[in-house]
Amino acid sequence: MYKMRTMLFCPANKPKMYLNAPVFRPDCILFDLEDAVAMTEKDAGRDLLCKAVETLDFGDCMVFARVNGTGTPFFEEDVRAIVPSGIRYMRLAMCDSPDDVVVLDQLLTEVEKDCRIEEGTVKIQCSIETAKGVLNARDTVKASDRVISLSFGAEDYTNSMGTVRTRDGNELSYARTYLPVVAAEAGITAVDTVWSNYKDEEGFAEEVKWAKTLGFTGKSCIHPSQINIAHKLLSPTEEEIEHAQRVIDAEKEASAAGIGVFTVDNKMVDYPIINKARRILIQSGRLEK
Amino acid sequence: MLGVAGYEQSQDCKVTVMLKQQGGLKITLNSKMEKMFGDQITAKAREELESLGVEHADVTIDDFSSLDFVIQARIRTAVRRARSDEDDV
Repeated sequence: MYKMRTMLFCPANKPKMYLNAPVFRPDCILFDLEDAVAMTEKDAGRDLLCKAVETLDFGDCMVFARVNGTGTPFFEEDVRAIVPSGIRYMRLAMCDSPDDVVVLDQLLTEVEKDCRIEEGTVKIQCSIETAKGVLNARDTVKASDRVISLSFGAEDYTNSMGTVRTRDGNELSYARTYLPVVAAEAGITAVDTVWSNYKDEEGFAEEVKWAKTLGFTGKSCIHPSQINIAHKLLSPTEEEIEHAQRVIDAEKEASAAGIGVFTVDNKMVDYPIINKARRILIQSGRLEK
Repeated sequence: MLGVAGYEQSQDCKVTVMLKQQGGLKITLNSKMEKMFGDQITAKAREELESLGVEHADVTIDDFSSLDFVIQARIRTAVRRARSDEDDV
């Protein structure tokens, strides 16, 4: 699974974002060709993104482009332009059904062939943003081997539901509960929606904690101030890491002694607990996958 | 025939391209950085125009401390828009 604790949204047509965004060290930067770029500026956003990716070094940060949806006149041009420039991760907006992924997958295969890039190199994140998208998500994420993650888009989702976003997020309950399950079954990463009021850091932190509880491992961010908060909350705590290490150490001893079930900190440890401990150590970089 | 791209904003530039039939490339740069980087900016602009097959044009770059990749991208967009304008005539 990919490490995507934070995805920082940046409008693709704003030059200074290309220089400023990497400074804050998000796990991923998402250059947006969709909603953040005016209809009359799509060509300019695309050109700027291509030149930036060809020129700049983003280090170990995963660089995504959010391409316009398959039903728009910009979709094909987006894909044909940005793959040759070096973009290897795409968020597909408005992923309503498996067909959307299939259309992108086929176009990517064609473009990769034209550019002599190994087939399957470009990966897809499905952006689930409507009621239909949520209900179809399970099939959608399985429509291509390129799919490495899904993201939830609450603004369009609430629109499709005829509701509005509130601070407590109750209106998102169904989608927020369902989508991490879809991701877990498919073995992909789940990235939660944005928190729009970037000055409300307390509300943002509460939402990240809730998203983590439900199974999201990443958060879309609209402001650099959200990066460190999300990284802290979406990484294992020192306490969790220490406990996980004790579990793994005890497991080695128990295994050598031929014991299947044992205790750590007065609690029974069996395979699910051991697997959870492994996951925590892998997440914290203390154990190889 | 006329294409414009970019904005008068920090780290951006506004590029105006007027495609012509003759006269070669005439590049006018307006930039606070002209003394230090004028030659470099103009050379990059010329390089980009030539890569796009533009031989005759009046090009104005209003620069607001933009980097090379921004200038190149804005030129690319402005030329495409100018060509599209030409097709519409």
